[in-house]
Amino acid sequence: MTSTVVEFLGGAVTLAFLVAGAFFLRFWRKTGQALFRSFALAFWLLALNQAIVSLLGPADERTGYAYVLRVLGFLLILSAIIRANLARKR
Amino acid sequence: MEPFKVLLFSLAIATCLACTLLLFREYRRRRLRLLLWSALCFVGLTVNNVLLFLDVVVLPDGDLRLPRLVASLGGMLFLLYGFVWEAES
Amino acid sequence: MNKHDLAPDVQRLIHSSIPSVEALEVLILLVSSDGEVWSPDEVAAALRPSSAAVEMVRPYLALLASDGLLKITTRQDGAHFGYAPTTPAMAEAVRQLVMAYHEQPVLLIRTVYAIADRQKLQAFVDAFKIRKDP
Repeated sequence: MTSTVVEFLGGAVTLAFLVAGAFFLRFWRKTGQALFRSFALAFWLLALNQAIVSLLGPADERTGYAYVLRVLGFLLILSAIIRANLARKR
Repeated sequence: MEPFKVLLFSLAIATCLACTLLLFREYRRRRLRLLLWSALCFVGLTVNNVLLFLDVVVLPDGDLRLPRLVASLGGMLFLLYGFVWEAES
Repeated sequence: MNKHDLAPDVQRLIHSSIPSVEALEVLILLVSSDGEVWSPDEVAAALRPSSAAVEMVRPYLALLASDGLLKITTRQDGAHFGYAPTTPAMAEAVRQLVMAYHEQPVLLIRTVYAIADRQKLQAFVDAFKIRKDP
């Protein structure tokens, strides 16, 4: 039961990340703000990570490396925030 | 490998927490609901990252996949709701 | 900028003072009543049913007043608002806005929505700037 729910939620979360990334891409095209492009890429990395984790399952040791993608995603967001602040000060 | 992993996971938590606080701060200033939904999204992602940290680093034998996914999905539904209803008038 | 856009002064006016179509209706109502003063309740009642609960109208009146388009008169039963632009340039921009409201309503409303969208997205980006410029 639990594993079915986890599979279902894993798919839902993957799709949610993908759609959010698409929204951010659109916001980037609308405004030209680089922050939105970083967010789009970040959320797509999160989607890819979630897809890999869901498809490989928890027992697979490679899952450990899939988390690199999500960390990369959050680092992308972090660097976008830092750049947004540096751009302001200049 | 382990301390490096801890550092990376902590950075992810810190990033989500920063996003949450910055978005809440701007919501209090501007009162735009889009900012509130975005802030709530990052609450969910922060919880997800904290649970992931516990799951992988602190309690490797546990299985927090279900609460982790619930936190992520809850957060993302807030964000998508905000994008659909507030970002495109 | 092409001929299908509103005049830059009108766009600037929308940018600074008209965050929504309801705010546009509020301003148009006060402008066309020609200096008469209104309480927030009266404005909400006059706009019904097209817009507006009074809680929605109040912040728009406050914004328009703080941008120098309305004058606030305080009476026993609370603040009243009347159209009173503080500069001739403002009056001219509002005149063009009213003209657009009658002659190019679709373009005007589209512009209000487009500017509101862009401002929301800008607010999202601004949220991540830690130090705020005044």
